[in-house]
Amino acid sequence: MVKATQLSKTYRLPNESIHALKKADFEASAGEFVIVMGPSGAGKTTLLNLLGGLDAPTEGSAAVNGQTWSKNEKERAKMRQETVGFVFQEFHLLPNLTALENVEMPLFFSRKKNGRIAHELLEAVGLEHRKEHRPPEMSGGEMQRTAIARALANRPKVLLADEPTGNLDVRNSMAVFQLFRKLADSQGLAVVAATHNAKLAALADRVVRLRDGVLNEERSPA
Amino acid sequence: MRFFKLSWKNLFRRKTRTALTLAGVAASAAVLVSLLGFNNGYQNALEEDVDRLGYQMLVTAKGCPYEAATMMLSGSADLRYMNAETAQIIMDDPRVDKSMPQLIHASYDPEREATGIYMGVTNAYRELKPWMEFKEGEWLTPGAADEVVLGYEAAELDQRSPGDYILVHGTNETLKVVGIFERSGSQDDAIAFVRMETLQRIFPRLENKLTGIGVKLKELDATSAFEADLYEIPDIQVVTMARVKQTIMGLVSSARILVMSVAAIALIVAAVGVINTILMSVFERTQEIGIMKAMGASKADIFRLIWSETTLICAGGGFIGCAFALAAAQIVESLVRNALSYAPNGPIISITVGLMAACAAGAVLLGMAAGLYPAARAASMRPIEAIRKGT
Ligand SMILES: Nc1ncnc2c1ncn2[C@@H]1O[C@H](COP(=O)(O)OP(=O)(O)OP(=O)(O)O)[C@@H](O)[C@H]1O
Ligand SMILES: [Mg+2]
Repeated sequence: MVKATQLSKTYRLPNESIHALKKADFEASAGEFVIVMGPSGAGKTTLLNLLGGLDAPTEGSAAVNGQTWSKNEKERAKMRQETVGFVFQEFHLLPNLTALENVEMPLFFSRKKNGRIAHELLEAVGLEHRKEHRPPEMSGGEMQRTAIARALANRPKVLLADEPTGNLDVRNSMAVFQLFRKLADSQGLAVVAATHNAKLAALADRVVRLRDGVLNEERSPA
Repeated sequence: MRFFKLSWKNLFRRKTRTALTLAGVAASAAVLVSLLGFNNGYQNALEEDVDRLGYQMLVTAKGCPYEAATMMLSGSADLRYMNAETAQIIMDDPRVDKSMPQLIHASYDPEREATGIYMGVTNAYRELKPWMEFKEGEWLTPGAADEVVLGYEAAELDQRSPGDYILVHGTNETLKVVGIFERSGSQDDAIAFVRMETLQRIFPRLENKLTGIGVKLKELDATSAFEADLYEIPDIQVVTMARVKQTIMGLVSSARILVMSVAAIALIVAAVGVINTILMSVFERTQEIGIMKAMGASKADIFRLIWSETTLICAGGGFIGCAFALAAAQIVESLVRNALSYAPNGPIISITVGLMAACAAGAVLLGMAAGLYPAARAASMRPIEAIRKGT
């Protein structure tokens, strides 16, 4: 469902080049929940951004749903819209919009008919009572669940989560990863999540490890 | 429509800033509407004033017409006069439809601190100005030598009514008031009308003299040819009303160009203010824009979003400005009137629905133009950089 082939990213700074990702091969199929672990600066964010088409690789390629990311920004926007959902560590909800409006936003950009989709998604993440609340009036866990509902609005094939629990306590972190597990199982979503937390890894099908831009497969934890 | 809702909400996030920007646009729009309203109104009022004279051409004794006017107003008796014989030649010309000989005598009365203006006329006055209506009384009786009809203001100044007698300043003569005109909104309101012979009898030095003749031609097209012929007669000059309009409009238009440039600058300042505000809010929302792109927003989506914010601000400001200009028109009118050397009698600031619609449309266009750059900047932000910048 999401695939990286010899994926490399080099950031060129005035007096050095940082090889953030080195010839990584990676794959996550439909219904699979994969966790990316690794120390800070290992290249986790870089990998997820390349998989989700937010950034272009220096070498190699990334594909989603069998389709390689185009160089054309317009086509990339359309692909992101149709196939990928993003969840970030800082939630990144729009503070002036209610939870419901935040979830509706991707639908608004994809020109899809809204109907009850946003309502259903908020209900699915257990926030039916927070629909009209704005982000400043919500807890961290509630904001992250809203962000997950938003990521799911366009019915993506792949959910990419970059340290989604970095700002959450243990209980909320667990709830988020359990939700990912459920989404992979019940909707066949490919979920790729980066985390520092080894305890959460138990919920995944697979764990891959990144160190200095080099990706290593680990055996399945279960 | 959903785009506008989102833009609307964004504008409400920084209320003070939005309000200040709105005020800037509104102020420029108000200035512009008032100026254009003045442009409209002044010309119309002036033309109406000139048309209300009833004649298209005024023939006077040679001399500077401005000089004549000032002398007349300052009360000097040294007006230039033309001979009745010369006048008769003009009046007998077959191309003349109607003519109105007039003889003006003005004298300043220091006790009343006012200038009394007497105009000797004939019955032609009534024919050329049929719209002059009587508030009280009636027109001069044929053959009666000591009657006077007062303009509205001339009567009001001394609280005169028909039947009163007035003493002609500087003489022992008295005149009986027989009629008082309604207010006409023209210079005639300040004048006391007597028969030509009466004025010449009271002031014997005016015997056989005229200040001028107002001429109305049978055909308007013949004006220039007739004017050229008149210059064959020595010692007279011709003032056509078309030229009066031109001269006054010329005086006003130089001032108008200055004021219009001020308005144009105000508009540019407003536009720069809007660009600055929106650009600032775009930079502040760099991360948000990145997120929207990650959520599937295209370049065009972001462009439209920012563009409609700018357009909304300018449209709102334009609307408020128009409303304000309309509300303040009376005040502006009196300010402008005091500042002008010659202000016509009608309303000189005319703010029409069409003018307001044009200005509102102009404000929307300004917003669209001002929004181009910030919107393009926002649209071209790369999602990854935009997201990182905020953290
Ligand atoms: N835009 C950039 N320009 C230059 N170097 C960058 C840029 N983005 C990331 N890097 C570098 O690339 C390397 C990998 O960064 P990345 O953000 O992928 O790490 P990470 O595993 O997500 O770390 P963390 O756990 O702290 O989020 C780091 O050394 C980082 O400094
Ligand atoms: Mg990271």
